[in-house]
Amino acid sequence: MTKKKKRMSRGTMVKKSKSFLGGLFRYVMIICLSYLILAPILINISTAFTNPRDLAFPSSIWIPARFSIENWHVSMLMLNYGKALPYTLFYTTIIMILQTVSAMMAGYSFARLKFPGRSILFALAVFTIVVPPQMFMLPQYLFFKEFDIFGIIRLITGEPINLLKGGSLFILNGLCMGLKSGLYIYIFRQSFRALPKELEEAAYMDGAGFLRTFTSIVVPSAGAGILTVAVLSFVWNWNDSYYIRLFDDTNINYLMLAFNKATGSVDESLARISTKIPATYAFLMKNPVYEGAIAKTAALLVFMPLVVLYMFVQRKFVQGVERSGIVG
Amino acid sequence: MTTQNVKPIKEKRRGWYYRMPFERKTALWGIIFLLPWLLGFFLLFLTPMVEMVIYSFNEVKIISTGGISKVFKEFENYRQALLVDANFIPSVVETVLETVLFTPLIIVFSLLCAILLNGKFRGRAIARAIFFIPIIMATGLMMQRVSNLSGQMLGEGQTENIYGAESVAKLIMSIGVGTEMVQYLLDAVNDIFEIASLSGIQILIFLSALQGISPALYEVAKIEGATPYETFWKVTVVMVSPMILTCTIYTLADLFMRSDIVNLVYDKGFKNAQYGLGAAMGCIYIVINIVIIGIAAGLIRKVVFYYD
Repeated sequence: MTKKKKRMSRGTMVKKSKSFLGGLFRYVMIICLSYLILAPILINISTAFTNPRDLAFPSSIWIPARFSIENWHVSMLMLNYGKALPYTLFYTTIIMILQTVSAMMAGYSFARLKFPGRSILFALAVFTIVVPPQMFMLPQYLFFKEFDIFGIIRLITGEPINLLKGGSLFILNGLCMGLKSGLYIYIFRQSFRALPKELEEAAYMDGAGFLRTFTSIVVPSAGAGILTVAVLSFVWNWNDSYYIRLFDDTNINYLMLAFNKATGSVDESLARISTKIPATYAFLMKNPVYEGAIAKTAALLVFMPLVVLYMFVQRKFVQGVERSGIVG
Repeated sequence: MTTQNVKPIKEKRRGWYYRMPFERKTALWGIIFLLPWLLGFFLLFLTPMVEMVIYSFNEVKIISTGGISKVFKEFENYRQALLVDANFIPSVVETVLETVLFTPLIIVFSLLCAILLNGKFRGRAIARAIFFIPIIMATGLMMQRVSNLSGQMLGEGQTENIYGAESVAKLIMSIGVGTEMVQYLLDAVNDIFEIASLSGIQILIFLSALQGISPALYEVAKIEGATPYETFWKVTVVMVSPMILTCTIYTLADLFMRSDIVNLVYDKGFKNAQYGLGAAMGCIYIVINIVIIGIAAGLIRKVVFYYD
């Protein structure tokens, strides 16, 4: 009896130490990778809060020697942040809604509504993921520059309308051809296919039409997938500067475009706002270290709204990813 | 009462719809739901694609009053891209090599991360929140800026600084390892960071796949006396193998899209106004992409296991 007990306990001990080692390994890996991900961000935050005079000190890499918000002030001026932030928030939100809704409709159609030729069309939808949108820049540019629906507008007003600055991005996203729309269609298709079919069948039995079934049965039960796509869409459109550079190159109210232009030549951007920079820091002009710090702070300013958003939706997003059935 | 009176009239008016069999209705609504995509696909994808192929055989100029002029040039643009342009072929080769090299690394890395994050352990919520941060930084220029910009400003050796790898590098050098070896190590550190920032979506997909594996399979493996090593290779990897296919295709497409070639094509078009040449380069590039993705998909499809 005692012998048996002893053997068992040794067995559990081995098991325990094994699982302890496994756990330790997991923690070590996770901490290393977290450091890898967080280090550049943390170092940028520290630089952003460093007093401009201390920037070159090697001692103030991780913790600023003298704390200051001067860099933030200058970067905000450089990006025209007060105006650009609400503008970008507003436009990105509209684009996100358009893109999510259109992808959702297409995804539902591909998942549940059978019609001849559907599988070929779905293959084409997947194909759109593979082709870089940059390849179409000239045709798409011309399409919106001389926007016309089968010559109707030309017939009425005499010439096509220029939609480059107004509406081009909305049309693009509303028609499922925005940034990575193909991926969202794929995600929605998978997540709708994971829903139990009985729900919809019950709705049809009770006399609901297709639209009604979609809006009041399917959409509410696909919350996880919608959240996943909405977050991805918002974030990627926020970070994108290709489309806005193509369609509306001068609109620096878009934060990402303003950021790209400003950091393209920090020299010039600082010179433009030099009158607003306190005279005590004037000696830092044209100093590459200082310009680097300003650029880093500007990057944080562009990135920060996303972090705030992410903090709000993070828990639901991570759970949602698991339940959205991306995998199907 | 009133509803009873109204109903027959309504049915009469929309009779054709009500008499339609359910399958036909489904098909009709399928097309209605797909209408935005269909419009977008034909107007903003297929037409531009055809136009691009046409451009690639022409010399294209934008007329300031509107519209474009085309002069047919046969294969002149392709000849220019493949034989004359000094940058195109080297950068295509470089892109293809880099992509083929990076994709397996990204797949392995993201599968590893997903396995690390899967399961219960203390601090899981925080770890997941951190691991998904690359997603919100991935596509934009943000990551490049965050890691490279000051590198340009401060001169070389900035990325080494971030991770404190410089002191490690000095330590290794003092032992007597050559500079090239150290440089390789530093590059590897740099690459890991890049891989981490490219793996966001893939981690997400793998995590979702791991959650979907039935616990019964692991129980069976345990009862049959499989070691964790065997369980990993014969249950976990096999069950997520369809997602390896999906992730590989996505990764390849994503890497091709980030390549410098895309910028090269853009510059040829909008900066140098050589739209025809740009279009030809774009066509060549897309064909190469599709061939590589096709080969990869074909190879992986052979080993993928579908449970149902």
